[in-house]
Amino acid sequence: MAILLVLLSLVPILLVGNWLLSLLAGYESSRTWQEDVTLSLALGCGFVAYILFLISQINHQLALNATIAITLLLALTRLFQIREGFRLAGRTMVWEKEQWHNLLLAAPLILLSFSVIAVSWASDLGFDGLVTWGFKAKLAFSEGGWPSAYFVDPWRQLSHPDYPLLVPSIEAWIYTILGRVDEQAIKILFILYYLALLTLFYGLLKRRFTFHLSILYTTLLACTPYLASLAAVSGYVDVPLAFFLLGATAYLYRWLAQRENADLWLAAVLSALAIWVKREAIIYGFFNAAAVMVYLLIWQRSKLVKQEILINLFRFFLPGFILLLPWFVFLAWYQVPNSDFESISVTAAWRNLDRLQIIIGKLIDQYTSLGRWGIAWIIWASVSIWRRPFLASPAQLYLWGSTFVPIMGLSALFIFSIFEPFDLHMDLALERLFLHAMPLAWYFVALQTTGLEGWLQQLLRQPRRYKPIDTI
Amino acid sequence: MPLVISELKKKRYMLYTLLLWVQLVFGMGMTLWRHGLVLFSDWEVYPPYVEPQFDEFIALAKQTCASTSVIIYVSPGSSEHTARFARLHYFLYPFSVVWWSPSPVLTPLDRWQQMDLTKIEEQKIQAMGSACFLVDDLTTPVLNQSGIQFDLTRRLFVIEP
Repeated sequence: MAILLVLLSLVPILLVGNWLLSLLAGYESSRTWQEDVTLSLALGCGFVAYILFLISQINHQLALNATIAITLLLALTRLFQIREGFRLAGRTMVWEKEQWHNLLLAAPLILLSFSVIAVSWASDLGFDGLVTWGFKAKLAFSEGGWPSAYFVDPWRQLSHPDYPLLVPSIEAWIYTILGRVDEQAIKILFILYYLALLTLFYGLLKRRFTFHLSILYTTLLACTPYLASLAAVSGYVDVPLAFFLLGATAYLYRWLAQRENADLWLAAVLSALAIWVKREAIIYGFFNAAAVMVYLLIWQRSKLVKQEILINLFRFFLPGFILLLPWFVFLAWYQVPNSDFESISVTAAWRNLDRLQIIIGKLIDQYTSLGRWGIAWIIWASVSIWRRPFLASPAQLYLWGSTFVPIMGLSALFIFSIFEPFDLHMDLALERLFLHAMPLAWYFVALQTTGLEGWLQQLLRQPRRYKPIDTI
Repeated sequence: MPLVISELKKKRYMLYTLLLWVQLVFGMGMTLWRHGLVLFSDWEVYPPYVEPQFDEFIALAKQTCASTSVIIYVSPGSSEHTARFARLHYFLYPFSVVWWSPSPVLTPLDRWQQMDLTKIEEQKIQAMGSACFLVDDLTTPVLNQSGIQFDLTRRLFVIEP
């Protein structure tokens, strides 16, 4: 019953997200239904968290109920708008013989998904899943919203009040629908984020590849050892963050390649919402903003008129401004302290410069850690070297950079860690930084090998007709 | 039109496909092995580091202490005890939980106070109102010497090391 209620509680969020998607990106025939569903989830979650936070500033005791009322109203409106059915419902589903073959190819992924669900159900939530994110959700549920007093209460510093609120807001939403705090039922939300990550990844690849290669890459992502066996079952927000970052990066990549306005809007909103999930996304946000600015102000400066450049800059920065300004003004206003790092300064950097050696050592350890990533990062490095002549285009260079630059930037921040010893902080956090970039790395790898599909098909279907030449 | 692929590219694709298969088999094997450990061998992905008495204490505190009480956790300062303190903090909400430890903890926590347990002042405890204590992994003699005069109005729950 609790499982059903949790799933039902997410339906209004999906509907509101779908409405936002139609406003932001309209109907685009090239978008797959997998993208539509997962983007609806992402945007709906962002909407609920944002509205809950804003209403809490007026009256926190009414905030959750008011958020539910507004969301339900909008969801009903959307339901009437799309009463003719989602795009999927309008399609005729014919089960063809070939689909048995497809089902067989998808079997490992399906098996893995069920395995993750079973393990998640049998495991306790991890430390942060309970103490940081779970505590916030419990508090918001008990108090009816976000009381300002919580963020400055010295008794509650253990739960990191400075951490963002998107995932705890959705947890509190679910607890409100359930009518109780339920640490078991809430695991469904985290399983859904894991499945949403895979679905979005599959949907993005499906635009470029056939079913076979899309499902192969999705299975490769799904069975990344750290993701499937540790992160997906933890109740941490790293898998949701990876999901938002994948969306933000993939749509910005598409915009750089094709310059469709809808892609830029989506990239901008998802970049901002990722920061609502976890602070680590700030560096991805900066990276994305830098990519947009370099592209418009340097790369395309001579090809675009000034007005077009300004409009595109406006498109990218407006959502971030609207979505993030209230949160950062709030943190500054209440002087909510940073709970993990000291203030960035040259003095502190100089004082802790000897940490760099340890940081580099730990980075190498991550890139080569078979237990966490298998040979995924080795494949990524090989493909990066192999394809380096093709990384000169803005889109490809950006996509590659997104798999590398933010990890380096975030690792450098450990120079300012207040943990003692600081390498403990790295041990706790570094593998999660790599996790955020893992779907981006697989996306990059997949897109670099578009010729693979043709070669595989040729190999499987017409091996004797294959005629190699040396000129290509 | 048949696709024409160079010999060099063909070799690269072969190597790349091999790498993908290695990753697929290894990733799937590693993941399912770990999942098997959880499902069939009681391996815990995120061990809570708590003994059954811990949850008993949480239930006891909720039953007997006023919601305005301060609950005091007295233990060494290891990462294991940090996890236990954090668990108390979560499950005892809306109680306020403070951690007294004779040794430094790995990360500075606001509700942690390094204490010389032999010099705890009775007045300090009284100033905190009706307190509920959980003494964890500290030997009883240390506590006996500490000077804490527990009276019957307070709850003391000791987990022996």
